[in-house]
Amino acid sequence: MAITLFAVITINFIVFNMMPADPVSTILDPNLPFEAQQLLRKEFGLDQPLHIRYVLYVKNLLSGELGVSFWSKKPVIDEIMERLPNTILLTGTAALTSMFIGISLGIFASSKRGSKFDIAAIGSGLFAYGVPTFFIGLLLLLVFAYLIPIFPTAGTISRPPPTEFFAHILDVLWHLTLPLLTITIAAFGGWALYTRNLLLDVLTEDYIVTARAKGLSERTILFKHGFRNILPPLITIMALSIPGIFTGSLITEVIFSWHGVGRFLFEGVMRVDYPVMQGCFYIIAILVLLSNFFADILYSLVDPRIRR
Amino acid sequence: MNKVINAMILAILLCSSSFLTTLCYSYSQDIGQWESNGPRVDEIFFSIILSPDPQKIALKTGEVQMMPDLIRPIDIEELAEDPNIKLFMTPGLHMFYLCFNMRREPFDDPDFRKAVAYILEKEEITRTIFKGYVSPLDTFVPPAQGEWYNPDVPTYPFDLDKANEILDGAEYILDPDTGKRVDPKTGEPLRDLIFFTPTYEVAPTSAEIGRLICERANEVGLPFVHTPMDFPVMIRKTGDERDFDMYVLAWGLGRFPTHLYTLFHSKFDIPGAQNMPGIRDKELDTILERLWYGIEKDEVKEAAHEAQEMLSELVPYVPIYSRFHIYAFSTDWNGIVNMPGFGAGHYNNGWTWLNLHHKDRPFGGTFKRVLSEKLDTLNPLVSTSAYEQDVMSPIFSGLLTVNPETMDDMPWIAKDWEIKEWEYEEGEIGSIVTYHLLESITWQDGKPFTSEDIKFCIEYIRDNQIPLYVQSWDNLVKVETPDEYTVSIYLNSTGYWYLYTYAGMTILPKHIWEGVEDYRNFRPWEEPHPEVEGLTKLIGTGPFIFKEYIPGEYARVVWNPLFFRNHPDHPLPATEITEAEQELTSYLIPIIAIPILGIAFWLLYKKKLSTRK
Repeated sequence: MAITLFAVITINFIVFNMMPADPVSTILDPNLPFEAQQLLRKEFGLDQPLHIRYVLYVKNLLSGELGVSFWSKKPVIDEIMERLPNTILLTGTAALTSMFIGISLGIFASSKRGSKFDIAAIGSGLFAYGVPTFFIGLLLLLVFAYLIPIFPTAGTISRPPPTEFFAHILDVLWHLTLPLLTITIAAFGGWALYTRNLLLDVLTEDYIVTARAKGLSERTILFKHGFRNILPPLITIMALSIPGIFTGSLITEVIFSWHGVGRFLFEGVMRVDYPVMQGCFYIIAILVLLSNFFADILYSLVDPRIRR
Repeated sequence: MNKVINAMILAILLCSSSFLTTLCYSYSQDIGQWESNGPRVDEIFFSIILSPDPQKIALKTGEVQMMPDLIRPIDIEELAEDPNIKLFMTPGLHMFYLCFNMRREPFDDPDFRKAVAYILEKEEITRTIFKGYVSPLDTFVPPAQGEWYNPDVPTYPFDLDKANEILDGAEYILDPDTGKRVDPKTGEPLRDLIFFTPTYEVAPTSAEIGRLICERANEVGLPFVHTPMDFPVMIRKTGDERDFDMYVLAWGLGRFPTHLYTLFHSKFDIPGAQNMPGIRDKELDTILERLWYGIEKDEVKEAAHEAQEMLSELVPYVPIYSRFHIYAFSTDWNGIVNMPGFGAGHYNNGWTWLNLHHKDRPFGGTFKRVLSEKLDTLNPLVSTSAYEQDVMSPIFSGLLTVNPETMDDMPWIAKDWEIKEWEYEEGEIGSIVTYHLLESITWQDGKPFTSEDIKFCIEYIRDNQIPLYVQSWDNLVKVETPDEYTVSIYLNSTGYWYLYTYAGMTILPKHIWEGVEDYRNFRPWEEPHPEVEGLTKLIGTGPFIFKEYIPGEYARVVWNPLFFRNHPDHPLPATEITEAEQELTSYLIPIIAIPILGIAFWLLYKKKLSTRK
């Protein structure tokens, strides 16, 4: 794991510093003198040779520092921590709701193959999977913020927010509703289709026929024999979606002005803010490694054959 | 009056594009009623809403009362039809242009560049791509720069016959076999001429303009190849590497034509500097030096006009269009000043924020406006973002201001000013800029504002070599304060523009900033004021006091009762400004309603299933 991490750190540095742009070139101002541009490059530390910048970067990472953003002059870790609660609230909740709805739909659809419910589940799943997230977001805004104005258009809190604790919690939930619905609608389809396909494969296996011959109830067959067997591949996908909870959902964050990590990362790339890009991708790399590690542990818990 | 203005706007929007353009200019002459005392509102919220569709919904539902800088024709048309919204339109300080690389053949040939200038369908571009919400531009200084703009320069209206005639005359003969024109120097067909634009995803209009120009160029036998590319790559190729044939891009400009010097003087034809076309013309350099270093207004104005004429002959760029600034306000609010060049809600137009008031009451109330980006910093010494300026500009006051009707200089913190020459070394001439200050000004914490604050501020940015203020310290010799209300700045260079370099500078309070050693990491808006409760260290002398910034959500400024131009009729607030809180029902109803509806549907479904059984 340590070798992988070191490779990621090095590739992070090389890729971003090879990008054909520098942070100062993103300031388009005809009255910004050449001398000022040079001073800004110096201030950003870009006047140093690449190898010195690399040593500094590795040294900082090893001492737990992700660097300071060129633009906000704030430590990258502080910037991330400022947004992380919002991001986890939105994408974490959305991941749970979309998984719950999608997997439930997939299970029931596979158990009633060919029924109206199955057709409706596949249809809605395919539709939701195919429709772009921005379209879903804008549609929800149009309906629930404009035509029937019961939800706010932007932000995580009212402007100004209520001062009482209980009212504040409700206020956040009120603002969360539309972005949460957007991501849930966009994501449940994938889960539903995937679960249904996996279960349909499993339900044709010999041991299911045996279970039916033994007179087990359909519910037991479905959950104890069918669903249990599709857990390893489901866990893989769930584990791989954990880094996505950290990186947020850029499009939804932009549409609903949700102050999250996704947009921060996007802005970092657009502004060629090396510390932000390097810091975020470093954390993502760690999360991917940890997710895979936990997925391996979970496999062994749900599938005794792996333990052997 | 409002109905009349709305009717005028609607009429304008319904007109055809060329006619519309003319009307928009005449409309912008009516800047609205204004006075130099204020502010009238108690507080302003800068509500962060990132994308235009939610911004529009927030404006229409009354969540906010102002949407800034409309660009998309669809938004303009939709909002113009809304009787509760009024649009304010004014020509902007902006130039979209086509740039040639004059270091390369055939762009080193002025005839070739002139021929290309004739194939640009500016009217067509403004009509079809922008639906008339931009204005075709023929000069290197947009009309919004007022007296600095020279309308009497050679122009290049769309004329393919003329382009063909010039190319034929310069011996770029059309080869009937290849359909391409022949390079007169080699006798071979011209090589492919690469035309850079940003991609359709990043800047659809720029990419489309590039495609249109290439199509017309191909019609006259010029092998232009439209090459959309990633924006940072394009900036590097054009700015640092100078590895391009031609490209289109835009500049946002200031109030004065100083950009002519930084964009076209041969000393800036070095990688990273902004003479992208690589124009090197001694005669032009002389004129531009008069423009930059001249000390009398008439002298620099004459130089600006001459430079525009010469640039129109040399054609290093072909100016294409200049955009309008369009702001949408709720009709419930009056006192909006539609300042030429900047527009009704721009941070350089403080008049709107002084005069703004609800139609039913002359004073008080809360105004909420959209801010299209979050804020990274509210430290005036490091901020480069226009959105941060939106929040900071009402907090600070400049030494001078601009009359929004005449665009002339107007006294503000400085009641009088002068610029004169001095001999800083034997035979070397520099300039002295002197400002005489008003005596009644205080900082927002009640401390008196004096010339010592200005001296400290200029010396602080010099000692720290602050990049964004390099023009303020690069040629600085010394700052003197003969008395508490007079400051003289001695420079080892001349230039009429120094008056504005310091007049527009953000002046920082000495008693707050003198202890700041690392200005880069100083976050004045997050640190409480050492003496006055409720204030932060982000204080100025402006009409509004900074109150709070909730990252990613909103910023808030409140009325400064100590402002030196407070409105005499504005009553002092009896208590703290009350914060309007959401009524609990507004979010309880939808939050509770959705799960209840879900449960109801589920029960109905179950009931249906059991009935079937």
